[in-house]
Amino acid sequence: MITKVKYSEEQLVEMLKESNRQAFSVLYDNYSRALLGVIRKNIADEEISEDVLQDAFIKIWNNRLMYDASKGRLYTWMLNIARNTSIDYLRSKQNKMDEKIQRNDNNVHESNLSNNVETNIDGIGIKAIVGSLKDEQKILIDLAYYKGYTQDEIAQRLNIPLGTVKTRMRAAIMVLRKLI
Amino acid sequence: MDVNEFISSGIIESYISGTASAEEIALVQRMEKAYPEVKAEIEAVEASLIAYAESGVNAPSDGLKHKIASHMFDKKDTSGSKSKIVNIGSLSRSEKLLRYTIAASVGLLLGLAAIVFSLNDKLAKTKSQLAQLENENEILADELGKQEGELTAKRNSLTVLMKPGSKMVMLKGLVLSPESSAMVVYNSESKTVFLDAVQLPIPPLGKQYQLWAMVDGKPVDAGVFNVNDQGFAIQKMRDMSDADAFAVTLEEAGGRPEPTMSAMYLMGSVQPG
Repeated sequence: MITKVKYSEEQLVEMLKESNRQAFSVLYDNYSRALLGVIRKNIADEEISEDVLQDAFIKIWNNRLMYDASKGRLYTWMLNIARNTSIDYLRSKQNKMDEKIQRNDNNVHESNLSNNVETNIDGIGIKAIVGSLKDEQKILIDLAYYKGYTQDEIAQRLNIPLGTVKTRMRAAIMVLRKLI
Repeated sequence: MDVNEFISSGIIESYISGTASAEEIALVQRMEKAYPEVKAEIEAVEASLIAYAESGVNAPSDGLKHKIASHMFDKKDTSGSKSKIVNIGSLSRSEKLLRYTIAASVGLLLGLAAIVFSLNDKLAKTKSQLAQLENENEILADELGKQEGELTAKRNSLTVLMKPGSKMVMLKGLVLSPESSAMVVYNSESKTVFLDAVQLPIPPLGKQYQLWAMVDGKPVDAGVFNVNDQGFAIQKMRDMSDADAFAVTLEEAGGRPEPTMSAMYLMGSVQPG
């Protein structure tokens, strides 16, 4: 069972410079489940997702001294690595599939976007809160957070004004805030 | 900008999702420093998004953390070696079978005993071969891990060096250790300071090297760093504006606010232009 100990952002960043198991352990306990959640939104298979999580953590660890706080939060940095590792995996899988069946599927993200992963969500409260997100809000949060689309890209993709993207994004976060 | 307007603009959501532009990131960080309510909002948005991602999945399987940690920290750990278990498992099954046969037919005891001996002998040989193979495997895996680590370090160094505006500042050994040297990669546009290729004696217990930047003739603390026998990977130090030179001193662990001039090891000037 993972127990999360609360550390401040500064403490975590400081710890990251230490090359010991303890620092890795704290990092893993705090973020592994969320990062797995992000990966699972891109990759449906549970076992492969854990492999990708492992790759992502190794990348995080090997590059930890390159983390630059002036470019964003520690979680955001790790989130980026997890997302990119998922996308790399999908691309390599896609390449293999293309070789096999000569199919011309031009968008990896598209094919995985509607992938609703079946999971056991612990706690009815959490389920109810996430369930109370409107579809129009959920798709925005998922595109930005899980797929890494900018608000501009989302506006173009969904053909809605940028202002609407911003207000819906904000509304979605206000719903999700009940989770904490 | 009005703080509430800023908070409700959706920019913090982009910032945490990693989709904000460089200008937006800079703006969020300025607002964060200036307004505690912005800082609190950033933390709340992050916590909400973490909770949201966690709500979609169960925690990773129990063994994964250990598996990743083993991969990174103890390359020597082969306790989970699959081939070993399979081989020994199949042999012990045949041993069991042998015992059963012995019980059923006392007359065959001697002959069977010979077979058992020969099987044991084979088992011992197989085990030793296996151990040897595992050993070789470990050495190769170790070597590969080391090479990968070195490659990553080199790649990181290269990325920093190739950045437009980056300058190499060679720090040369002073009287205390003329053979020592190090390189600072300084980018006066982005203000970033990286330390690389450090050749310094391993410091005594309780001491640490500290990097200083000379700004307007005054030393400014650029952070401490460790030197050990594991080799030095490029390391990001504190950002500096308008540094003219860099120096390294040996200080109490954790560093000091002012450099100890008598313990200065390295020094080098930023070349103008």
